[in-house]
Amino acid sequence: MDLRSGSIQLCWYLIGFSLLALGCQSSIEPDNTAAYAQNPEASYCGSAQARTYSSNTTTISGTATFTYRPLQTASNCGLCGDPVSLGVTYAEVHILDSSGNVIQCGETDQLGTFSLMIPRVAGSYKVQVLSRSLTDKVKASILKDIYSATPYTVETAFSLNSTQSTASGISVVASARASDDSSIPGGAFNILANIFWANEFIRENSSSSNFVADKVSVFWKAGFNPYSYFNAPSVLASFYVNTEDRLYILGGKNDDVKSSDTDHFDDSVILHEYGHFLEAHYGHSDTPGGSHNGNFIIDPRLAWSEGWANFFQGTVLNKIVYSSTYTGPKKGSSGFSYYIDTVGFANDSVEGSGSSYNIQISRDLSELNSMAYYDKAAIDEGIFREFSISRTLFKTITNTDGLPFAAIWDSFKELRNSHSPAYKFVNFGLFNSILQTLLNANYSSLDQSTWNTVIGEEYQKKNTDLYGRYLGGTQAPSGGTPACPEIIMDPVMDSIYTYDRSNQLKSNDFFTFYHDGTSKQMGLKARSTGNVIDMNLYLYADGYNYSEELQEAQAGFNNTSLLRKSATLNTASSTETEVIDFSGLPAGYYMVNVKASTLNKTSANLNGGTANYYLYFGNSTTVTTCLIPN
Amino acid sequence: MSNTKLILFSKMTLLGVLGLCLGGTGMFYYQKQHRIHRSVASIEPFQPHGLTLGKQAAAMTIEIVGPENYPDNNSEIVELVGYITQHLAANSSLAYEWSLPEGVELMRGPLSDTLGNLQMGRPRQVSILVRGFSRERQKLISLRTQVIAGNAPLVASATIVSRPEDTMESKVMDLQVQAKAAAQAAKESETESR
Repeated sequence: MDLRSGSIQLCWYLIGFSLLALGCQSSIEPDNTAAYAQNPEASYCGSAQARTYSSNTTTISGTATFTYRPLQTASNCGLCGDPVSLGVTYAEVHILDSSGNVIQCGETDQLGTFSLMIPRVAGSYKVQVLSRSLTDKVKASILKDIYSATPYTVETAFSLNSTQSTASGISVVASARASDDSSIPGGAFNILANIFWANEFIRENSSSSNFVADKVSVFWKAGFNPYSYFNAPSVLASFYVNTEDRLYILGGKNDDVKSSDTDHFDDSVILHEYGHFLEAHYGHSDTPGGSHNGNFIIDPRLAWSEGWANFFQGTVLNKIVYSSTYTGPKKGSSGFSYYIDTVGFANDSVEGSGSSYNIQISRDLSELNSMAYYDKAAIDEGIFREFSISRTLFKTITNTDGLPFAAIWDSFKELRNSHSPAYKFVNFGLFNSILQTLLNANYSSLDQSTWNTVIGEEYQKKNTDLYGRYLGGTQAPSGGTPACPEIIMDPVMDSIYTYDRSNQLKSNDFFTFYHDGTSKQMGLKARSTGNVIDMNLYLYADGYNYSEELQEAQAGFNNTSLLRKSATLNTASSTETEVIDFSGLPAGYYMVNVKASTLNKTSANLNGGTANYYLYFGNSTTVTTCLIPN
Repeated sequence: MSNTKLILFSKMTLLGVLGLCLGGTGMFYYQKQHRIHRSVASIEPFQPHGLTLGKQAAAMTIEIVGPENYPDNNSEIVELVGYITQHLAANSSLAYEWSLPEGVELMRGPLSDTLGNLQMGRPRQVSILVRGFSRERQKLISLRTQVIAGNAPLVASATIVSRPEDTMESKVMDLQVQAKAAAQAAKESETESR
């Protein structure tokens, strides 16, 4: 077996059989053995659980800091140079007596300082800072592994005499260097810091000034690839598993953090994954997963989900972490407009390494579409390209006279609300239509010209015309030919990235359809002008996985979300009819996909060929009712 | 033939047989010591990972495949095969470089080179033979690639170790298998008790 067929088979296996593993948001149905052996996380003990000691107390105070590896983009070095220190924000703090009993609990403040009171008893004690927070600023646990579910702990010992009323200046440090602590706790606290920054960003830039997101559990271990939990140790990635509601952050591989890909100091990656968590909790995702390298047309549902997460990380980094105006703890003040993912680290005066360049992904979200090196959208392609979506959102709120993030956030949350027709098959065109409605209603004084300019420049849409248009209109057939208003499709050759992919913009039309549960047949009548175009009719379930023709040709192909398909081979006739039967399907929303057969077709086969088609209720011979997208 | 000559002939024959035995045994052990541990890729079909998984927006992904079983001592030779996949167009050829730790010796193949005309999304195979990469001690070898894209260098890196059984990844895989078996046993026990 050659590598190509091997890879294609793998893709079929992964995609065609619904074992969809996303690079970053996973709808994978993992081998859920992890759950069998997992311990519950130990109870949180913070200021809300603090004990009260009435008299003869000693106040223990100090500062908790973590070190992180700084990002150098100007030199393309990546994580480069000696670790830098920052306060541990809103983390759980314990004080333990000499027997290891927790005698007081609390949290650090925004700057990493803590102050807790304990009984004034001479002895030896420890201050422990844990990689968790359950406060009104951030709710997150950074845990070592799925089995123990224990947070990272850094500690400092101290002793008291019987007359001491204070013990101050205690320093607790979580290091980024394995030579200080092999577990690299600085990585855990950097992840916690990013989740705090994300919450802080939403508080500062939305109408929800008291916002704090639901608690998130993050699993990370230095030198460890978390895809091993899912029996795929060769796949290096951070990811959010929506079925588990957990984040997994890549800690490296083979106990190595120096040469391997790691994400614990890649703020872009951490925030991107947290963006998926927010999407699951506050927005709405219909992403089916699948491959997306940020440089080709993909399923608009996937493009929206990834585009949102790319945008979210960029704007949090820009407005908080590298902001000139944010007054809290941060990493810089020069702004930030990139998605950056690094490999290993370099130029540490203690731990060395030596590579000059360590950046594996670098995308500028502020660039013009026309100047984009990757994912440059052509006409109408915007909603099908994840980084075009990311750039659109980023520039919409960053450019002069742009929209406030509050409007974006409100529209994001609106995706969860009930609506008629329901918000199904969520994509960026639908999001923009919601945003437009919301701007008109609640932000009518805002200048929308910047947004409109960006929408135009990125070839984006403010409607569902290109994907998921509601097939809700009906009219009587005219009695002539054609019997119903026609839609025109000019299909193009498949793109070949790893395997043949049908162009979801030009060779497909997608219509949201509400089926009332009654028996009926839906037909497609198509006529070709020029070259013969073989048109087919598919019906997908809500949450479907798109079927490539290449996959369908594979023996044993089984896509359970492909409910009906009428794909009569047509090589010669200029007219054709395809019919699908809704019998047995429950009432609900479905996706009707009109698709030109393009597998193995050359440009000579397709160029000069145009398909005119319409959809209707009826049967193969009779058109009862014309179906009109609206 | 006189008795003296017969004894001499017998001694010569015995020596010859003995020499053949010793020589053959020596050759057997010599060959055993120096046999190449074939990589998984060379003995069975390889299905590369990372094509649709992993860092999706990365310009390149790499996977290194080593022998199914690593040798017990450093005198043996192993083959390491890197599968390099370029996903995005670049302004330069793809350059790659293996990094060998102290005590690992390159026996065959280039430590670094460039690859031209790579097809996007299609893995290209590069390999080296090394000695000293055995289960005697945990060692790590990395393969790194680089392209120039948009005037900026982009990299990818992969690692492989000589004692994979000592890694957390391996332990987790074992734990998962055990947990699954325990769950299955519990399920069967529950079914029987009904």
